Amino acid sequence: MARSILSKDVRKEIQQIGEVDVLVGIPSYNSARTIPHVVRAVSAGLAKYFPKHRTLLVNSDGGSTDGTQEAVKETTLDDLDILLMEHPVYPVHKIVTPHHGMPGKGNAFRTIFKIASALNAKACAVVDSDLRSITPEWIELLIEPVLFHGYDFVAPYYKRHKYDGTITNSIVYPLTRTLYGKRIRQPIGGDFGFSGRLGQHYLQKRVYDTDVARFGIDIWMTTTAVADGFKVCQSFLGAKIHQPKDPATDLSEMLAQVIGSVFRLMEIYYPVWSEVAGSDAVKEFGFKFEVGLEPIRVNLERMVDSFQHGLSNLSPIWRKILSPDLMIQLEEIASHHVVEFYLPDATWVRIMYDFALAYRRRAMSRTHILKSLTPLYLGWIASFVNQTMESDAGEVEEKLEGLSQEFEKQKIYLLANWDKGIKP
Amino acid sequence: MESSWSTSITQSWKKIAGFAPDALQLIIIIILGFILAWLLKLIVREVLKVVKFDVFGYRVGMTSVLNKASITHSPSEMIGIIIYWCAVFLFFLIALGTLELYAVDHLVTSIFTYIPRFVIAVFVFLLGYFLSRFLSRAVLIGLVNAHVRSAKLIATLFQMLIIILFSAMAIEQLGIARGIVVATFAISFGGVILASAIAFGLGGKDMAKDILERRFKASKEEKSKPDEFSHL
Repeated sequence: MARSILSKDVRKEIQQIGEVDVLVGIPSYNSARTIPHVVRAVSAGLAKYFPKHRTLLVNSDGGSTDGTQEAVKETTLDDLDILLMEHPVYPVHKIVTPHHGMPGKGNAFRTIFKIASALNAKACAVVDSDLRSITPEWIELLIEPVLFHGYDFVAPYYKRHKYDGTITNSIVYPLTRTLYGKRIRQPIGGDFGFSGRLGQHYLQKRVYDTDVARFGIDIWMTTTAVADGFKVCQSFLGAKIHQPKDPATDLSEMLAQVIGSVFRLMEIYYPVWSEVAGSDAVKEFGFKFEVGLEPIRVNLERMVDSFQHGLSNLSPIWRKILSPDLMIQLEEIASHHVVEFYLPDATWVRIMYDFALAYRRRAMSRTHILKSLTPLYLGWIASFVNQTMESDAGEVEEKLEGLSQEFEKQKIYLLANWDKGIKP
Repeated sequence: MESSWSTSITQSWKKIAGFAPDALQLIIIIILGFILAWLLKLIVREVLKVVKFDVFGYRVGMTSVLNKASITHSPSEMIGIIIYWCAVFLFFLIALGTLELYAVDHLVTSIFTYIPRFVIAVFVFLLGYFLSRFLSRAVLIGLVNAHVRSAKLIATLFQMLIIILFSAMAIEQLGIARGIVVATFAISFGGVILASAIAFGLGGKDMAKDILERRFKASKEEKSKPDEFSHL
């Protein structure tokens, strides 16, 4: 029999608590500086919006050494049940998480799902431990659609700077929308609400020992909810500001992890997405408002240089991934100077689909395929910045809508080539 | 006179009659060899297909190497063919052994003792070749993503180093001019390392200068500042 992932003490505490209506999980790793604010916001949110419900806050920690758990204990409000525990972390020497440096996020979520299931929680939410912009209203917005409106999954919808979340904007959002037909704007937001039913469904999945759980748990949660037919919606949470990430974080590693998870899920859910045509808006909760966002610096010259450098060095590799006509287009694009640098939406979509197909047919090592995408991705951002330099947030959103429609338009190409060149 | 003729014919006939069983044995062993080799090829090919060796071969670049050599067989079929001919060759040697001729016996013994070393050498060389292709590609992608200017040169040098290393190991295994091989390897390896060091030194001169200037001159910082936006 498999060993329980919950310790004896935690199981005892669960027995004492019995049942809860609302559970909020905070996975953490070395977040002593930021987690008190998150715990205060969650506690206040639970007290303010769900005073008549039995509530529980679970901090699933990945073995922090900076006193994160002590910080949680010290900041907890008196009238709130709290469960502190450690989740197992994979013994990997180097982990570059796609988020904010927390190892074993998949395991943290598994622990939270397990506790939610044991306590028969009706509605649950998970929030990152390094959020600086979280307010008590976030808890209401993530929990209420589940508790009172019958939704199973609540995705976050943040107000972000027009150049923030470029992997989400240029790949994950349009691709997820195209594949599964639901317009979830932040599929890898990191802060979600979900029903107890969906939590149990997640628990039954055998992904916790895979790279998807290790590096792509957010996209996995969203995709599973949508592809397995659960009722999904999104809540407008305002601005998302979190602790600045480690500048040493490797972009190509991060990109490979996120896109690798998306591509892996494409293989798993092919029977679902191959039947989907077009996309539908999902129900939105929360009051949309403009948020003042600080201007950010973008090094356009370096991005274009990365693209050109990539083309001159990685062409033999890209030729095994991209179709010949695309290679000709890339040569032409690379000949332009920074100010005139332009990569059309249609080209970018074809690049992404060709990469997905190369990943599918294992044109070479999958890690090599994913990591060789970085210069192309930087070229796309450079082109996007060039086109939207003078645009406001609304115009940028319109531009992204156009890109998403291009993804939907070319889905037929993806479908037509999905099984081509598959080796025995 | 007639008697000496008949004696020679009788003696020759006796010799042929004495050799016939050996020849028959030789022919039977060779035929058996062809049959067993064919069976072995079939088994090996099927086992390799079951363990998805072709997928592995495709991933490590074995298929593209075969294609380049205009070989239309899949990697598992190719290995089956190699094993088939090796088995046929072995049975041929065994068959020759039945003749009990000193020279042939000596040759067979030498070949049999040399075969394992030859097989290991071929294996080492092939391993080195495919490993060098895989690793040099990883190095190239990593260096390009890290904006290293001489990415292609470094990756090629890296591939050459691995091939030299594994070739030396393979030749060492074959026992061909051991002293010369080791010396040649040491000189080549040392030469490549020295050349790389010089190349790094010359190529990295500007980078080193840039790093020092950035370290000590705040005004130069603006151009190399990283982006501030989050990719996720």
